[in-house]
Amino acid sequence: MDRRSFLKLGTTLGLGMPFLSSTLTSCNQDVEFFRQFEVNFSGNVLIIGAGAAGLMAGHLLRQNNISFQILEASDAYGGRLKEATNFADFPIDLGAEWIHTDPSVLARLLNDPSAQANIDIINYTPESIHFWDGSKLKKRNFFRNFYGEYKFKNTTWFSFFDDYIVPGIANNITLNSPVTNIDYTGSRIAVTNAAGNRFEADKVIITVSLTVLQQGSITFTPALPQAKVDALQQIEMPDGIKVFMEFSERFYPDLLAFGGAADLLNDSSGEKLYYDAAFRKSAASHVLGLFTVGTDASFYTNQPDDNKTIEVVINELDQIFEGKASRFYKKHVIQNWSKSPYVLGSYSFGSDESTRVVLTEPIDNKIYFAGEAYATPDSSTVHGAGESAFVALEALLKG
Amino acid sequence: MHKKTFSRIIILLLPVLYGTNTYSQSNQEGLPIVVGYLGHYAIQPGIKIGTEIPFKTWEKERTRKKGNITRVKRFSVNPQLAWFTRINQDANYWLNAEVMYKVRNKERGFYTAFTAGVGYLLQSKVESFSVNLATGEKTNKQRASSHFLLPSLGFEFGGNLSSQLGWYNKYTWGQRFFSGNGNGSTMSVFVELGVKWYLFKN
Repeated sequence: MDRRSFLKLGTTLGLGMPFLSSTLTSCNQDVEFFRQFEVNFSGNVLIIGAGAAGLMAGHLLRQNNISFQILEASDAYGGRLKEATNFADFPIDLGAEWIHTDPSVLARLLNDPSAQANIDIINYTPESIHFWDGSKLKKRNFFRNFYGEYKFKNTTWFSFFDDYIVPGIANNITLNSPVTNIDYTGSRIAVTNAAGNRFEADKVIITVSLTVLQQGSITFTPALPQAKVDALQQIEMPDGIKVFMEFSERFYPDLLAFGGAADLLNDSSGEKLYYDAAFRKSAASHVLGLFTVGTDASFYTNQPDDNKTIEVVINELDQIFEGKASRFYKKHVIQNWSKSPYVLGSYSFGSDESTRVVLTEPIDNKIYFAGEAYATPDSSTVHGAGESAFVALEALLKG
Repeated sequence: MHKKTFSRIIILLLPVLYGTNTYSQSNQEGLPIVVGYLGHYAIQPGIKIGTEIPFKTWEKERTRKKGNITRVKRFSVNPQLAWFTRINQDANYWLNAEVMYKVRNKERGFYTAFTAGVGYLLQSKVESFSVNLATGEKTNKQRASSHFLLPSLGFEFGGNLSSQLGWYNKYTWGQRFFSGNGNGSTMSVFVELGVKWYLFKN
């Protein structure tokens, strides 16, 4: 469950959410981890996009001995999974960071009973939670009783894919290959990239970021069904940015939210948190992260450059912590997802489940869709993106 | 166990020992054994056991239109042991001693009570664990402990189910202090629902 859903459900269920989430976590133990597909398909597949869903789709196709190729627009795979390994004494997630469900989902995603590895996970339950109301810093530590997610301890979401998913499919990934047209009029699908190269496949799985489709960066021949076009416009993918700063001393709480409890619970327009990125990590460095999406994020993403962005962030922290931010500041790293050319935002926001179902529906049993925006119910999450690849593959392989 | 911890427990138990000493065999209500569901913020489940040791009891009669009402008023010292958990996150052990002022309707048995207590809370948190990528199984849990002083104020009401069995519902507000993690105090709210089994009732 993503943070937004968590908060919304938390609001709905009042104080019951922590218990409910624990109960759900316990129930997850009974879920069958390893899934086998009914395979009636033996052609080749093109996957557009090498983010979490695209990599997962490739991984599952490899497991089922289906020929495939992944076309990635940018110069690196991962999509919104990205890490900084040299910034501090622990790897930092510049993109997706939290695990919004029972971490056993990692085994479920890997779908490999012979996997021989353990991965360390942090119970992400911040101890000190403060709120800044614009003039005063207020301690609200009791919120820790209602907040709980997970994080990787010594690794990142990107590394999880890089270590366990990518090695088996690396040779099938073509980077710097932004797709511009998908022609599915014939029995074979023709895909053209920006360089004019043409690829053919029996089936295509589209896993690109929602904004790429919304902006029409990929044209379809024939055009996408109107219902799908309408559904695409009903889902937002607002601004998103992450900023990490290293300080020589720690002066901040585990989690700093803005406004009051109601603002934390009502995230319809976005959210903004400063958090101790080294919380429960095996780290000596003091790294504070800023995570913000939606209207809260636009103020930062619209700054003219990274220098200006860090300036406004440090000024804000100085106001809250009486000048300590600029006093102890050492360095920073910024990941402005709104300006990342093939992402152009944070993650999908809004819409109801029925809209996402329309969005996910395959076209003519030729073109399939996967990604966090297509996941029901766990949209906006990495595991949701992975699960959506399972759903797409199940339909595709059935033939 | 640390010497400090041990001495804290002894200090907390002193009122209990005093209360035990002053417990009167003529007590009309008997010595209740209290067992209840303890919910931290209502929903982090737990259990509490305890008793009530009276050290001052008196009666007051009031004249009403429908007849006289006799109220039994009582001060007691209540030693309690509790456990509660946030599933998969932490386990909490709470040793508490509180003073209770209870007013009971002698005829109907219904009562209301106010409590003020001081307790010692030991919290054991699961900070991290390993996930097996083949099975999803979680192992190798890394735990950390925190200690707190937990003063509390409570309101309780209850009644009789039978001559020797009663029910109660209690709401307690507490504040955790002096944890070693430097995070300052934290509010805790408890809701209890349980039974009281009255021993040695005259």
